[in-house]
Amino acid sequence: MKSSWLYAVLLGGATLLFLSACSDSTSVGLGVGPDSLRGGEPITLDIPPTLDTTRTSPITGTNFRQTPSRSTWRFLVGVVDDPIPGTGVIEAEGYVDFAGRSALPPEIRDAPDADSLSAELRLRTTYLHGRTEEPVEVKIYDLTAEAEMDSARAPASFDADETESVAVDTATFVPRDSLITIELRDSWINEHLETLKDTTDDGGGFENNFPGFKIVAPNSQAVVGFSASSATLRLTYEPDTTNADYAGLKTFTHIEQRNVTASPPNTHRLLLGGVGVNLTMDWAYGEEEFARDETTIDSLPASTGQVLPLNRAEIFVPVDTLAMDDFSESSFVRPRPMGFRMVATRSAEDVPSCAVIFRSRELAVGDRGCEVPLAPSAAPGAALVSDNFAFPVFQESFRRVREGQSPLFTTYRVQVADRENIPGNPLSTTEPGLPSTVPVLIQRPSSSQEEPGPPRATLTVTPL
Amino acid sequence: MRLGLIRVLLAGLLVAAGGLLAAPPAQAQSNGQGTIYSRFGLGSLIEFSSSQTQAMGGGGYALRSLNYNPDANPALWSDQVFTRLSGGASYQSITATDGSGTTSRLTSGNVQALQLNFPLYERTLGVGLSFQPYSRSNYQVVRRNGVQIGPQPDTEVPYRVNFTGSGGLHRLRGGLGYRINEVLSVGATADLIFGIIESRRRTTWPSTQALRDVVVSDGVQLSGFTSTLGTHLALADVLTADDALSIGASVTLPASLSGERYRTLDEDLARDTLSVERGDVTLPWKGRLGASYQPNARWTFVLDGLFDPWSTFSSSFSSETGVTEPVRFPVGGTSTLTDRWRLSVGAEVVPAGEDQLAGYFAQTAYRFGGYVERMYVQPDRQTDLHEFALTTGLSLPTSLSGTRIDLNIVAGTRGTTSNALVRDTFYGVSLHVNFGERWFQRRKLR
Repeated sequence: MKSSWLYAVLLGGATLLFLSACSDSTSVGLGVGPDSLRGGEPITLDIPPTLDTTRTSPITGTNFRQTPSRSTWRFLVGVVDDPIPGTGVIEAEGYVDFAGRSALPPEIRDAPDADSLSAELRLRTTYLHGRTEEPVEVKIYDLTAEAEMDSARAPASFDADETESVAVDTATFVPRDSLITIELRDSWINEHLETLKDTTDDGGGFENNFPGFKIVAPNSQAVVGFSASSATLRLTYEPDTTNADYAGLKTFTHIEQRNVTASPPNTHRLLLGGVGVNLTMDWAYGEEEFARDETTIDSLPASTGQVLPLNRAEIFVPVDTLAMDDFSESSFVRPRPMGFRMVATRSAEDVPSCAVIFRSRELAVGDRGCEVPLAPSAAPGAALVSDNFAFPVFQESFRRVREGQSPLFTTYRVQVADRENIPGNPLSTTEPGLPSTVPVLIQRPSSSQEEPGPPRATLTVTPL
Repeated sequence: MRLGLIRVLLAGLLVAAGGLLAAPPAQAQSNGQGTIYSRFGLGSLIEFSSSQTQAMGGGGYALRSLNYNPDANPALWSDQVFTRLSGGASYQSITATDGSGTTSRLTSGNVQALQLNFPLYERTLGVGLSFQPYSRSNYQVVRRNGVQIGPQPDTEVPYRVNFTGSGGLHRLRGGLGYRINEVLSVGATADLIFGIIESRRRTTWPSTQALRDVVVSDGVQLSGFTSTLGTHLALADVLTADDALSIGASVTLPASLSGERYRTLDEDLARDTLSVERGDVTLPWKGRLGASYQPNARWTFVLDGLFDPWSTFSSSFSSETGVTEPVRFPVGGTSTLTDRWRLSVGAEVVPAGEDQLAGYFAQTAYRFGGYVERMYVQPDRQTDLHEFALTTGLSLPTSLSGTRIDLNIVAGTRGTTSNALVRDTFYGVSLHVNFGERWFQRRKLR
């Protein structure tokens, strides 16, 4: 017998050993025996949190010389009385300051007095909330001192000389106009001529002596938003229309709510952007919280050390757009927020950092807060924490609860954050929203649940 | 030439042995899927004594042979001339059918045994070492369904729940056989039984990766010692001149295995142990009795029986079941075990007899046999399960006088489709190398 035969025999033996990849398994044998094969069947649970609201005023100011630069930022002016009960009357006052110039056209620089010059504010509208048909009359006042607008929150305000509007008496505009120009009084030009011509220190002289404007429209029926980056103070030499633009540098919006005479629908929670009415959600861990589903009560994580294998998790906060549409009127425009922002509060000092929990860049907010990335595509219909970020939260919380510790987070706070989301980039949803006055209705849990339902954690689990 | 063959054989066996040792404990020696009945008890019990006896019904407790050293009776190890190294692998295909006529096809490949035997005193005192599976769990069943995953409606995703068994117990045996006189031989072994039997439930999502699999494993890790005592009577000229009648018997003593059972979540490095419990089990004794008759140099007949009182199996593991506790061990409790018996017959013919000059196919051994076995598991606690099979095989001689290559085939059926049980129809092919040569013996100068 040749040795090559033995190689063949060994190869044949190895082939026999591993020739097992052609099995065709079916359910045959599932019911064999008293302990027949059971379990492993996943179920999906909607776990509603305890809902409440809280007020946290958002930042509504920005400064283009500081990072992050917010090119889409805006400031708001006007008053809106939204038909949704509980919104009250929301008034927005805009503040804007301009950057100085390092040079001016000779015609303007050499103009002997204000008679040959004119000044106007040029504003592009980017937001509208309220009645569209009513003209808006605006008043513009000089600020009396330099204002720290950046990082200022909505309730703040800055002193202005409100004895007389610096705008001409007929300063009105129609909200739907895309470009609005507001002419300033000649007396204002005359009063500020030297400041306007100050090009020293690359415009720093102008900026030191001109603190900016406060713009109000107290009798309007709509809140209008203006692009901060394109806001311009234009000075024109009338004989030949030579002009010089002073670009927007800082803006801020003061927002306040008043005359709240009605309550929101008792079936809903009302969120308000700008005013800072946020939704809070708390999930309690333990049998008593999850006992509503009798088929799974014994398998859900509780302080009893039970284990709940998790397949998938999402946090879903749907906006009840149908209910909001019930409170609409003709010629009334109510924008929908382009996004939301969620901040979760870590429950204890021993909870891992936000970056560890979400395996992402640092997302800490304050001492214990974590920005929770949302799914960009879910807005404006909902705030959705996708499985990528919700799964580690619940998985780790289940483990901690099982071991007698607190879950990762105590409270999840959802706020309106009206800003562009970058598709495919959940981290873009951690950016703050632009100033807005948008109301949002969120369903409360009830026995007769209708679409889209209340906020919930949707968990797909496989009980042991 | 001869050294080359030796290297080839040793390399092959070492590779096989290395593969066994490198494999995870719960998967060693087996690859693929097998009968659902391997879920019960300690798994499917493996009866392998030698490739010769395997083709003759699986008994051969009294079968003497210079070319084989049957493992079932250590008294047979006394009669050795060659140092012998044996190894084999098998492939088995099962078609399982339930009461509704649904079928499932399962295949598996297994290492059958590694055996090393050598004489200390030729034909008087011999040593045997072996490593082979004692039991094997390799069932696989699948349940398919779908689940709504939300949060939006109409988002049903299909899933599969795979129930699988893996691992089994292994037996490492070492012993001696001593020939007291021309008639009587005795032998004894020390056996180490060890291994992990694991059942796994895996929920998977074939159509999406958006959901994570959940794997729950229930396992039991056991180890312990036992011993096998054997005797052999060799009688000549019983019915005719030059015939030979042998009677062999062996008893494996009850074995106490201790270990722990566990339940884990997830797998590999992420495996989370949910519970562990220590305990002991006692395996029953096993008795074997067989006879072989050789009327002449061409023919050999064997008749064998085995009895294994598994109804006496006991376990100290808790029978409680809970969310985090493992499933009962054995599955269904000890009442699912019953006494096992096995009867087998077989024959071998070598047309050339002792003629060393005969043609190749005349020197080839042709074997056939069959067996009936009452299985030791009774999943529904009332229905006796039987296994019936026919065996056959060829033993091919090689240029090395003590070396043969064996090809065996088995086909049979087990179980029933009544009482919600399953009937398996199976066939298997195995390939064995039995290498033998004189080692450790000083050549005499003439």
